[in-house]
Amino acid sequence: MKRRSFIKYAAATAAVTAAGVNPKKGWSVPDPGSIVLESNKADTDLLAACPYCGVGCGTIIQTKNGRITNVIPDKDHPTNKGLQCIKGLTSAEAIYVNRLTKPLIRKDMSDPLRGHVSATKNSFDPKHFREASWDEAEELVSEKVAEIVKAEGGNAVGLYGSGQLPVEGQWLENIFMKGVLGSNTIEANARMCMTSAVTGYFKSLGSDTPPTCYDDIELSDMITFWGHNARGSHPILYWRVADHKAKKNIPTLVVDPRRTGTVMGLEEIHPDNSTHFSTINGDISIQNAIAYAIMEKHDDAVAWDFLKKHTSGWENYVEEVKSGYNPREIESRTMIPASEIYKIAETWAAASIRGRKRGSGGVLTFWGIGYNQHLHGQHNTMSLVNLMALTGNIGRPGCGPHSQTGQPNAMGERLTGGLTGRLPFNIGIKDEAHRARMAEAWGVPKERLDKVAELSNTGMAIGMMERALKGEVKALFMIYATHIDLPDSYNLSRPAMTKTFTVAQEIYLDAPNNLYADVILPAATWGEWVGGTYIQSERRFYVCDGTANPVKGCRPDMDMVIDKGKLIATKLGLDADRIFPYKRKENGFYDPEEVFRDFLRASKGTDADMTGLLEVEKATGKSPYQQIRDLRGIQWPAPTAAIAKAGGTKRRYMAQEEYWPDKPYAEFRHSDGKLHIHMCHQDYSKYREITDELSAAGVDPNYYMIDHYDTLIAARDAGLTPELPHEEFLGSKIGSVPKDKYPFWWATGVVYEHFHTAKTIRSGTTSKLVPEMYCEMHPDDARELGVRDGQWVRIVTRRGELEARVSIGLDSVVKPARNTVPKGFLFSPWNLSVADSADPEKNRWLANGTTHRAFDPVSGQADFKKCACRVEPIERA
Amino acid sequence: MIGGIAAVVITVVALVISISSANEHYRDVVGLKNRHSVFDGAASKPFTGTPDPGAGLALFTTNCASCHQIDGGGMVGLAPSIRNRDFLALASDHFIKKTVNRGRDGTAMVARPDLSDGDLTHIIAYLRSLEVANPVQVSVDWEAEFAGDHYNGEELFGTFCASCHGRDGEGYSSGGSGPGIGLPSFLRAASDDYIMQTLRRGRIGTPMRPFIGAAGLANLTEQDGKDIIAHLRANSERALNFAENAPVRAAKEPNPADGEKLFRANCASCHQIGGVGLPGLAPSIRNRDFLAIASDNFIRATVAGGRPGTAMVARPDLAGSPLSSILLYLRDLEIANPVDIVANPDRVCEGNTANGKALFTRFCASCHGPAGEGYSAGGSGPGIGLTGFLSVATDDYIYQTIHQGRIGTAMMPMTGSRGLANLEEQEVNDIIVYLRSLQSTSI
Repeated sequence: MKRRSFIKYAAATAAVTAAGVNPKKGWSVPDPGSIVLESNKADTDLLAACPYCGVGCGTIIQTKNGRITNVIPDKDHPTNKGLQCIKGLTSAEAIYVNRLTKPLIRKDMSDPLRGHVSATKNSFDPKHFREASWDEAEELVSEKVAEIVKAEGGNAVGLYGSGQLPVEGQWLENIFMKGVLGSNTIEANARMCMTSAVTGYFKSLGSDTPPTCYDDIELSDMITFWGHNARGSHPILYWRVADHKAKKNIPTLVVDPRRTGTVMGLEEIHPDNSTHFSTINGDISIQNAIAYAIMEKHDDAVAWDFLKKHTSGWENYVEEVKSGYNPREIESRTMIPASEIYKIAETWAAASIRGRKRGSGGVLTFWGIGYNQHLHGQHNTMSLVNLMALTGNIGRPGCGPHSQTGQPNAMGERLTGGLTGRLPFNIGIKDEAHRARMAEAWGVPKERLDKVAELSNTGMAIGMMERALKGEVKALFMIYATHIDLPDSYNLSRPAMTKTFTVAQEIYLDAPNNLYADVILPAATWGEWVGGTYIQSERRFYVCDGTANPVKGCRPDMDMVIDKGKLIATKLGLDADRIFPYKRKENGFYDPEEVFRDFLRASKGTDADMTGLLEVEKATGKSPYQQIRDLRGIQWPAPTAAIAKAGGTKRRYMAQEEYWPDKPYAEFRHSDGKLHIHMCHQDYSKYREITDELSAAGVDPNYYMIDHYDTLIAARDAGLTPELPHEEFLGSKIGSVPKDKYPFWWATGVVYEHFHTAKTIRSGTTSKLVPEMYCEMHPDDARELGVRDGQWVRIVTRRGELEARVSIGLDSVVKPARNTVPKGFLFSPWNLSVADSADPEKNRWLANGTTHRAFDPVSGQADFKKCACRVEPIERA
Repeated sequence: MIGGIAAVVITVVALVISISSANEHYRDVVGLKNRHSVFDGAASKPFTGTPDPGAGLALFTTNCASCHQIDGGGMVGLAPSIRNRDFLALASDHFIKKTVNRGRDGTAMVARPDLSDGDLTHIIAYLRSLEVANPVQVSVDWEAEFAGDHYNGEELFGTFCASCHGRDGEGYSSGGSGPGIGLPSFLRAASDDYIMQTLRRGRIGTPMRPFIGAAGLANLTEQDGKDIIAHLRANSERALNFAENAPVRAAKEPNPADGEKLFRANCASCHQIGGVGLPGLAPSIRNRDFLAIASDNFIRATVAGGRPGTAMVARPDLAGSPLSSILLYLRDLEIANPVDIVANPDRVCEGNTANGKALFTRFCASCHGPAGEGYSAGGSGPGIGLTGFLSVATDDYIYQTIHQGRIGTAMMPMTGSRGLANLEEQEVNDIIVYLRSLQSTSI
């Protein structure tokens, strides 16, 4: 008997056992062998997109006896070509762990219509719940929600969806919320991830999503990363860039407060052409300063012809940059010496000219979630696009702005319009003609959508929670998304969900949402559902086939939308069968491909037209999913059969798309066919004044952010942060700083070994590699505080605190020790938020207990990177 | 004809070498010290001339590029990247020569003792003429042996390596993207430090990332690396004890799914994915008509002996379970209109050689070459006049093929109303008799 075959399984079990005996974890996780599946049969070698980040690596799911045993990289997928990072490789380990199997109903439910608040929220102790049948739970939910809609209107019901759901589920959730309930309060974790990029693209380019593709990496002459530790968050992308740099010796620029693995990895390849700008919040000033330097010294790099022909607003931009962004005069904002700005401007100019002459290449720019998470996040995107346009680095292979997403299907959330005020296919709900088309496609009365267009959900995801605190939102659906990704948990989302009637669709018994859920529905997860599609960051649709054999008792989220949608639509007097014309198949589940066809059909005539797949199916009989499988993905738009057969559209704008007859736009998506340049500023003259006002958020219970849009707009227009540390108190010993002072910059982010907060902390391998909450600290700060490497400390902000182990430098005993931080700056990964325990009695690591709820007034995205904190000792008996 | 004789001799040499190297496995295992013993390779004399990258490119293109690709960048799942900065920094000339001469048993990398030391010197000069923007320098210890805990290594291998290299490191034949680093043939050639440096550095442009230190896919320690190497060594010893050279664990029941993986790893570079063949390179073999006519034994004999004088080299290492799986894969082809061939294995054709030659020249030679030399004559048809083919194919096999043709290929039926020609029964016999005459003269 060989031991080998069971290694992965054994590794998972070992970790699980360790968790069971470690009192700090507090959870006894059942042996995965005791988890029973619906059946013992399933296909193997299923094609899927990786369940983690937005890069979207091709993944093959292997099964045995109906059970997912392993995940291997797909060598035929054009994105990862057989490579996968540690998270994806071990993703099978987190599937059969501590699963919910039965619907649970809280005995003491919150009843907002009658003013009752449950006394047992903030706990998921089984004694507060009773098990229920699916029929009972669904009937209860539909009854409660229909009652609230009838009494208070649809907008009193909110939904927090997910970029983990396949497109089909997202599409249906949007129909359910806007079309059936008549609510405009639909949000998703996309909001905390990349809506700044979304709204920035809309403002600049007229439509959402990157115009570029991954193959641009190998064509580019210079690559820049803004607020993006790609080595940690999007490793496959980083490795492709690193290999290209090593082969072609291209220059790179990383703008990030920390010296990250990305910075060091690129320097290791060639230190002379690897630049790192360590700035805190200075990005917009840096971009404008580079623009200044290029116009001053490298006029031949400025794409004047392009600006004149294809952009608007460039005159104002040029004038304001020239008058206000001399690199020598704004070093206090850029935090970068002018000489360095001039040097990078020269490199940037040379790469731009090279690309333009060759007709391919130039500067390719990536940015990550950190860059989006600013209260001027939308401006961050626009400002970057401005600089790219000025130097002609857009609309040609090998260059352009390319945002990255965190969730594997955040792009789906964007395209299906599952957000406040959005409709599918990159058009807002205020557009009457499109509203009529969508009402027709959804099978709902147009008047219903007209009413939704009049409703508002001020403040978006954060506003939804504040409105719940105020009593305006009375019920919440939490679907494949956790509330702990929202800022200021202790003062915002948790009290809000305590008051609302909350329905959670979850997979784990100890998921944080369960603490506040009134009804918990056990969901099937990635890999064990029937299937669906994800959209990756280069607009690539890819299939996520599954075993269609979930843990016994669990249902796919998509099935749950259809069921609850039918029930509630009927109760509200709508034609349920017209809206959800789907029937369960022999295997007991709905067929996602039927939904996908409806989605494709509705895309006709939009800039994301995908109807070419339907034409191909008509001509050849090959189903849309099979077309996508065979090509390992199709990039939208694919409006004709020929384009669909060629794999869709690699690059957008400036006629890089194949021609199609009813293409609704010219060079760019705006109605005038132009790229819109809007000057973005930074002005620190009222920094302290504005941040002092913002500091009431989360501290004063009567201060709602949504009532202070003027302050948010002022902060955004000046390019500020939510807080400004009291730097004068830096250098004090731990515990000696006054209780109302917060001397350190405080940033949360991600670590390579983990993806968000749910699965990788339950996977044996990754939880072993990086098991504990840590805090990266500069050695001088540690010396001045009097703390040593590996010591546990408390990080305290105005709103909450967490405990973390101090990690100093690359030799730290605390893993992963891969980055270094500037002095006065602390960083912790939010991934480990509930890795100690999700139970509030034992949970000490909740990152978003500390963060600030101020958000970008247009994108709705919060700033998790620029808070202020104090370091305190742990005084425990 | 001299070329034909040379080809046969080479095959025999290759067979002898692969058999003797199989014996060496045991020797190596028993006397571990002998593991990195110097291999003398083919009897060719050491080359003393000037290495010529231009000549190397030509040799590389004809001998290596079909798997390693024209640019040497390899193809994930088929052949590793060898014109590669990191590979070339680690691999010594000796290592490369040894690999080419001996091949990698259990993979499509067959032994090529026919390439002389001079040929290899030129090829290596071509590989090393790669322009490297950011060169790296690595010195590999070819002697040192590391101590490691193979139990820990086994666990690490399962977590970090098996997804690409297969659970036993069997490589592409497992369906993964990584080469067969668990195969005895690899482990015999690679030193512990060669593997360690690869773990440390990765391979630029490939899925193989660094695994040791903070830069890579995993944050392994040096000791972890040693443990993995210990596991690979221990595992290959165990594998040898169970079944000689078997690329897939011997105990496994043959099945079409494994067959497809093995086909992709071993056959698809010429016969193409799906086995549809490529005119001028390899015939269509996952083909209704071919499979109806060709018996399992015919295919087994072809794989075991190869087709001397063509790119189809002998693959005795696939014998047994792997080939059974491949056969199952070939035969599990879905067929809309199956054909029924009434075989007559005892058929012996009699006829007129001269007449057959005239018919061959008129109807067959434009594709198969003037004397049936096949692709090497520049035609689109395989070498049906080669002794290697004729010694395996029965008269009936050829007879049926002429009648039936090969669906989806340029080989049309040559008789009857469907036919490209309207040959008479006796004319078919004449052609076969003519082909047989080629066989007798070429030996």
